Amino acid sequence: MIDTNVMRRLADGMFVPIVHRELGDAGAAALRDVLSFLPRLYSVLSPEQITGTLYVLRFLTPQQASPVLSGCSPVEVPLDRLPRGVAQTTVIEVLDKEVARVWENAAIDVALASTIAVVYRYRGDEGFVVRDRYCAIPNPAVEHLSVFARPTFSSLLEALQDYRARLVRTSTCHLFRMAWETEQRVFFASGPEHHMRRSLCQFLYSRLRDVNVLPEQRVDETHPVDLKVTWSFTLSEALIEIKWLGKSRNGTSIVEYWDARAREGAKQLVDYLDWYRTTNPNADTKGYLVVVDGRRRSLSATTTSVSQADGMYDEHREIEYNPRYEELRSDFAPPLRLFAEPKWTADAGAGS
Amino acid sequence: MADPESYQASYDLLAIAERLERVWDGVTAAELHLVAYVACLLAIYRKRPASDWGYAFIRSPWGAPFSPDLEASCNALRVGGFLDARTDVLTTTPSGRDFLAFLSGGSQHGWRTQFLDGACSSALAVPAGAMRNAVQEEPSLRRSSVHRQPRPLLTAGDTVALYEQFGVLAEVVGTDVSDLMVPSVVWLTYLSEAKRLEEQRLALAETGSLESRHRVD
Repeated sequence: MIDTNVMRRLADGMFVPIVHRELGDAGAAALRDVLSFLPRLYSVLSPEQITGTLYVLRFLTPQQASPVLSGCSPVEVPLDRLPRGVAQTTVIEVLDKEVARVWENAAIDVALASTIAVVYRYRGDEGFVVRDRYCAIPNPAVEHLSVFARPTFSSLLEALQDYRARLVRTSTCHLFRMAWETEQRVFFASGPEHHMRRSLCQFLYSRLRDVNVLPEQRVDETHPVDLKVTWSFTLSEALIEIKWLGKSRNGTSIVEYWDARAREGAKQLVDYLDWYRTTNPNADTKGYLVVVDGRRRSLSATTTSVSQADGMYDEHREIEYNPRYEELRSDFAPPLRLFAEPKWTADAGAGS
Repeated sequence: MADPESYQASYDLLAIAERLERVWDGVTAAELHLVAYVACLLAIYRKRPASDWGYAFIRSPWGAPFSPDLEASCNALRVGGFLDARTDVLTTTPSGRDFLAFLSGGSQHGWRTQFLDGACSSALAVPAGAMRNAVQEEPSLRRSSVHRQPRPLLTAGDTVALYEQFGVLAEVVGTDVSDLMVPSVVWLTYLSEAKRLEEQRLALAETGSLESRHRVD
């Protein structure tokens, strides 16, 4: 069933058809050049380093910069010498032959520029300005500030470590945030594993090249592993089991899991690996235990906020595994604990 | 030199790699198969039969489009020194770029350029991961996903559903749009969006069922 309305909405609102509609084939060609340029720019300029406004332009015909730009003189730079930060207003003109023209602290007439050039703008969000109309670019992976920054990982472990540091630590992933009962991140919501699985699944899919990430794949007769990652063109596969520690609250009903839960997860993953190997003898399979750690000290049934001391009490308290499967078998990766901070409050006393 | 007509897979591999390698710091084999498949779909959008494309695709065991001919050509290009393989990514060598220029000069491959351009531009415009996600939703791959074994893609049965989607697409973006990046990006985003809406619906249903289970408990 084709949803014509959705397709029409996309055709009316997306930057590619808009640029083509408003600026014609020359606009589409210039857009292509900008799209080729942006990933290269973001390989040297982290979007986090843009505190001002960045414009990237590609004129439809050459040598039209002067009418729309004023301020200091531009500098022509090779692509490996592009700016590493943007504090005020920086304009980069995409040129041919692997060079760009950079205006620092520039004044730009955007209304005029956007009629004779394809104009990309980054200012916290990103989009294209076409004939003075701003067209935002939807970002399906909001943890990365630009859709054109492609911080892809070559290894699953690297990706998981990045996921821990940037998405789980302060719950910046919108899918992961749904796992919490409130914004204070004290208790998990009921059934948080569902949101954790979706969050990690989406992250891995967008950040690992050439993988397929499948949620809840059955590995034995009754049990599904949380995620299965398969790589194209190889027999490599990863089984990821996610466990959470802490307390989940639904009204007055509280479910809590502590360190033993992680150890159960390790044993469960080993069983999955053994079973999986019997049914898939040719697969090169490795198991990853991902433990989302939301442990808090001194929570009562009515707690709504925690102090820093209570909230961060378990930050560095590692889980003791016995046995340590990673030392006994090569198909078991060292378990990864992802500590998720609460939003602590200065006046929250212990146990409040 | 052999008849250039037989080099369609090689031409496509080199053309795609040459367009994307600098942007992505090399191209993986899976990305080459994926972009080539999108290019083939765009040829179908322009009413060319799939059989014109010169090589066929199957749904691979890992669920993505795969062409045995592309794979064979890729190996031959690596052995011949036209593609360089470092770690898991491929880049063109100077000989590869010369060979591409030679093939581009003939009349046999020129017609493919607009489709390859459209597919490569889409890969630049659509967020990473979304293109893979979208292609898995196209009718032929979706239809074949119920089969465990690799299955030919873009067979006569599949293209009926595809033409239906493309008919709506052409009506929405306009039949006079010559740059294939436009319909390609709209269509791929549509497939990705349709999947996202479906997942959202399922997630809401699951959350609702979890909550009602809790109430019963």
